[in-house]
Amino acid sequence: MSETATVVFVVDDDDSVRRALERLLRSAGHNVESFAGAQEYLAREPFAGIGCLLLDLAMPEMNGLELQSLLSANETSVPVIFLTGHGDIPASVQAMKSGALDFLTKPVDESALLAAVDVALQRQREILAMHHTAAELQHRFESLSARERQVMQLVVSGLLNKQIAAQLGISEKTVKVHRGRVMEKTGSRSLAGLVRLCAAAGFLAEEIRTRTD
Amino acid sequence: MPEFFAENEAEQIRFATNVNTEISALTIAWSMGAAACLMLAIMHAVLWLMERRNTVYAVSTLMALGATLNAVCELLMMFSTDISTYALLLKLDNLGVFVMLVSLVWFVHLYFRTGLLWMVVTITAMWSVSIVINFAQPFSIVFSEITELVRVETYWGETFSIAKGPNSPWVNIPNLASLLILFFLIYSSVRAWRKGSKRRAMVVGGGSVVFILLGGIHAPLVDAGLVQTPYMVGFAFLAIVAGMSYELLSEALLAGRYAKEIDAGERRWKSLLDTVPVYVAVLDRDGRIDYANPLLCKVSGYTSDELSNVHFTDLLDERERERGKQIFAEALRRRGSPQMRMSLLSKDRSRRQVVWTTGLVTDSDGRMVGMLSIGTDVTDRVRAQAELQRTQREMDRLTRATLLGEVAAGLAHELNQPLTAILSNAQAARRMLASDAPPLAEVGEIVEDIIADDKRAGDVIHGLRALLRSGEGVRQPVDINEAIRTVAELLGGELHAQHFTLDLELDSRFANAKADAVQIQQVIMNLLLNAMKAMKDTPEEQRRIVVRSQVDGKSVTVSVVDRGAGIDADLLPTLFDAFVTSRSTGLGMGLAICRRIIEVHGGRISADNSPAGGASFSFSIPTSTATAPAGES
Repeated sequence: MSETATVVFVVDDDDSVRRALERLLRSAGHNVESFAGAQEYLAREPFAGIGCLLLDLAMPEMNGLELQSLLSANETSVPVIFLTGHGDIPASVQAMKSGALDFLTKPVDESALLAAVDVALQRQREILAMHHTAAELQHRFESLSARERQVMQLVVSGLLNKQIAAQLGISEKTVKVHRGRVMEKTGSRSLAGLVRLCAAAGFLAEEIRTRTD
Repeated sequence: MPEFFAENEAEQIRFATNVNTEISALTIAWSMGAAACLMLAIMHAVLWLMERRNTVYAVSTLMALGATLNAVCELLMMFSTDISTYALLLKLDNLGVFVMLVSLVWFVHLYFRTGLLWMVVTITAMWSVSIVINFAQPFSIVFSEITELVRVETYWGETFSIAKGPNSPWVNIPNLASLLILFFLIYSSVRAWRKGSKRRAMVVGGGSVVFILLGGIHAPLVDAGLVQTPYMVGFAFLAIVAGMSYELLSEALLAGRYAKEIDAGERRWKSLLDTVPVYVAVLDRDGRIDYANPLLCKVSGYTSDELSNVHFTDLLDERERERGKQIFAEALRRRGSPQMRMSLLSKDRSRRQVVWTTGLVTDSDGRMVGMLSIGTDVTDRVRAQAELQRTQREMDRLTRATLLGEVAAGLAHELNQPLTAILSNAQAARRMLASDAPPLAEVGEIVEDIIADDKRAGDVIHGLRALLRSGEGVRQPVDINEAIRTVAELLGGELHAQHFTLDLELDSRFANAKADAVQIQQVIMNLLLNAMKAMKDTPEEQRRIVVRSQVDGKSVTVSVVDRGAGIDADLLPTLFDAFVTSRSTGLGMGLAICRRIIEVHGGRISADNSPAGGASFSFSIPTSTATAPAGES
């Protein structure tokens, strides 16, 4: 997951502009996929990698804002950078409210374009990384048995083995066995490591929720 | 009647003293009659003095004077005791009768206008002869000799004289004349009655007849000594004169009333002429001004006195005088009522635009006596129209400016696209060239794209210029068919290269339109190029374009029909708006410019899909000349 291919998607109805943007992005080292309209983009198979969408605001049939509102329903969607011919303020406000990452005016300078693309990709990369970590942790915690999870929660809350055994009504030795399995399954080498892992899982869940809102 | 007659002198003296000392009924009656006649005579004389032209008044005055004389003589005769005096009085009495009757006849003749002048003259002549004889004979025309004066007593005891003696044979002349008069009066009255003047016939004619009959029967009887009463012709005459007076006076009163009405009417006309906001002038046959209403005087700066008798052309602009004269002469000759627009030249040399409506003025016999001219001042209207036109032009300019505002947004977008592509392409190329192994082939493609995009931007600018310029071209008569052929020639090479067949179906009638030739050619070329582009995917053997011209009344229609895919129905309503296009490469300016050009030329442009497939674009513009067959079709 560290080096998933990144793709910049370009949606513009103007052939010439689309081709030029594609060339520029390629020459800056990006993988580019371009589409002549919103429908073509939607027809593409869902993309789960790191990417961003360079979207022309004014297009016949379905315009950029309409496409964006369709995409934002999907939380794994790529971040959107809008391109517009004229400084349409109401449209840009709506675009930013709907979670657009940036709003660029045509003709766009390469530095602004590439910077916006980099920011978008970086962000997407981070989000994806967090998704991966969270999923990994999830996976680890899910491998615990019910009793092991009980023991882990009590351990993390700072109780001694004896206290845990008394609380759960089992022998102290059994507690030790469970505790050992928890450490092994979560890959924690110390109590402190386990505590940190649990905290991270809780934080990430929260973070992912806010970032993808 | 001898028993009435007193035998002795004493008796006679008693009668005489009675006459002298007591109030005599005969005297009262006859003098009142005479006075009444005299009174009427005076009234008629006054009327005549007031209205000299009306000879009827003079005649009636004479009539009343005759009646007066008659009554006075009759009175004096009654109390005359001397034969020679009696004879003189009788002669004078006959003079009164003559004047009265002849006047009556003339009065009726003048008043009823029923003709029979010969009879009037005959009657006059007979009476004139009679009156000469009357005075030539010793005992008047009535008696050849008066043998005695008989005193007759009335039943209330007064006595009066009656002459006795053989009648003169001459008396038949006036008697015959009286018969003629009777006939004349009856005839005239009946005519007047039939003509509708019933009251007049009754009062004047009927009355006269009755009293002439009475007097005319009674007097000869007295003359013949068959009836022993005084002559009472005076009363008959009084009645006749009274009837006439009634007629004449009521007429005079009516005339007064009419005069008042006419005066009121006149005043209405005058106030109308004084207040109407038009110029009114009445010209005589020679074109001199008879009347000019106050407004005309005021605006022209002359007084009405100054204007009267001035020739109307003096009020026209110098350059229009000859034309004015011609129109006037023509109108008189043809009895027409021309309308014309002329400049009114006022005293201070300022000019006003006036539209004159004229009508000939004729007298009651239909003879032309002049011309009535009514002028409406259109100076302000003309000025307002010019103002309106200026405003219209300004509006046009503003509309064009608004149109520009509308297209500006679209224009920005259309320019932005190629600029965006160029910038990104150029920057991509720079990056590629900076790499270790520049992909030169791709850079070449980029350069091509940049060139194409630059041209595209140039086209937008060019189209905008055309849009701004449209409508300001030079208008000259353009042969539409010639314009089509020129375009066909210009595009000939291109058409051939792309395997197009171009069919020209041109109307053989000659159609000239006042237009900017280049712009019209531009429209035709645009439509042709559109047709070619619309058929770029059509198989070569079906690439056929028809250009048709059709002269229809006052316009010429040019249609360009292709066999392409036709026009998207959604696009049809806005097809001619700027930046609307069905092609991904189009600018959407061409048809907007076409429409602009056609509308500026006063025409219409439209598009539709042919039932057989393909699109049809047509425009029509007004023709400037009547259509006539051309030498070539």
